[in-house]
Amino acid sequence: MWMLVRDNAIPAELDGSRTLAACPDSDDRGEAWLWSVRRVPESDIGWRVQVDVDPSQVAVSHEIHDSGEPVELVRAPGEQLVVVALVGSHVVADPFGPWARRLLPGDVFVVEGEAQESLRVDPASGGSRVSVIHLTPVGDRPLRWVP
Amino acid sequence: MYVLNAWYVTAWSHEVTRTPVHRTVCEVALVLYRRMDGTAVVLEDRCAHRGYPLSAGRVVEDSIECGYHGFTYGPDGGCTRVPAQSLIPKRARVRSFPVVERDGWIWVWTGDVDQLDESLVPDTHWMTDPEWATVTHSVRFDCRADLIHDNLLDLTHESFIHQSTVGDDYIYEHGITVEVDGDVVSVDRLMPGVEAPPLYATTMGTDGLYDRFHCTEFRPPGYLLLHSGIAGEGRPREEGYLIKVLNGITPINFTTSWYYYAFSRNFAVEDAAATEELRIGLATVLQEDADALALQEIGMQGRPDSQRDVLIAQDAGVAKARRIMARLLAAEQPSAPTPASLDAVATPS
Repeated sequence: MWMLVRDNAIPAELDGSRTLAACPDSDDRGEAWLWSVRRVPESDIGWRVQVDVDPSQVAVSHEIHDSGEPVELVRAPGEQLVVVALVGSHVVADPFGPWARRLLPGDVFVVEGEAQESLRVDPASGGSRVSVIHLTPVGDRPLRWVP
Repeated sequence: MYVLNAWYVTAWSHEVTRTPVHRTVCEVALVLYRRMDGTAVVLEDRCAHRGYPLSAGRVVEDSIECGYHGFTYGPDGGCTRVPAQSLIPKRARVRSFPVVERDGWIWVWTGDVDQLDESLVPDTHWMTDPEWATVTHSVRFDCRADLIHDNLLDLTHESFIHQSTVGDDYIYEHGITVEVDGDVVSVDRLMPGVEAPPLYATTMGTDGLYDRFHCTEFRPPGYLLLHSGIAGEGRPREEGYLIKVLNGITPINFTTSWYYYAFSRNFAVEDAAATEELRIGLATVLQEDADALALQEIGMQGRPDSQRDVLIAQDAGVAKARRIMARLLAAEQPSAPTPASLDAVATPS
């Protein structure tokens, strides 16, 4: 499942932060919290991405790409991937298919599933910065995103 | 509770004539008729005098006359005649509702007129575009509108409920892409290298393998547009056999909804036999949905409040749409449930 949520669809909390993505995405499901990716206000740069996980269930790796070069991403089975555009525009695309979308700052893209898959993130010229978060299960049980 | 600051499909154009017709939208009784110049009028269907339905009266020039004691109301809802006296009481007025008539649908704004925005009436031009052929239906569903939204946002049910018509086992085997842009939720599924669905294959005159796709676009609170079709393997969608399914979902009350349906295709446009075959086949599809959702409504009504839907990744679009609906409700009605207690919205009061 791929999910692209535009900045204009992500409400701000009272403290100015925004939950860009989380698993579960809602308290309604009654399932244990595993991870959250939030944008939090930061005085000098406007906002930054903060990742919180339950370390007993989820391991996290958080990279920031700002070289201007395309980024090839591979998501292993049962892993989850979150891409947040920070500066500039990026095209996120299926390298084997027609699907492609432009990500703008504040937009978030979530990728999850049971089969391995690849993605390509192409920054536009003129300065860009993108946050890529890999969420990996600590045990054998695959991570599946819960709405 | 309903989102009221919205346009809802309330009738087909051909249903609104010089004979008044009744509709209930979001528990509000409405009467629809046409003025002498043909423009549609929508008023509250309850005479201010004694509560008699105006739809049981008659249209006189541009006004409607109550069939009980003859109180008469103009298109703006103001009373223009009281038969027994010359003085018209100030409170003799019924509410009038803004109307947009477009492409064969009558849309009614049910909310605050200060919030009215005609640009929110969605594009439905396929219904009247000569490059497309359209089949229409309207069905009363014995379920809450939310269940129809869910149904259209998660089309994996086609593999089970519509096996003999538009279904195929492969549907749920292909992943979805969900997009949320403002209040609009889209759920897209690409099914590469598959056969055309049985209901359309004959009309399309196809055999072999194609890329099949469907993308449901939900514009809350009451309209879903399904972009569907098949294209040659690896070819752009716009080159293919295209289908636009327009779904106007209008709550009657908490457990009943009107489903206004238009199926437009860009192939075999002049083929009347194909149109008739689709009309019959799609009526079957709609009835399969109506029967299934009536059963689900019964299940929901008997479900304890403590039990909640076990949603999975496949339901991402459903969940996001529900969240947006809850937010819209909360914005209109401060006492509405918050998103955190969203499932409570689906519990009958």
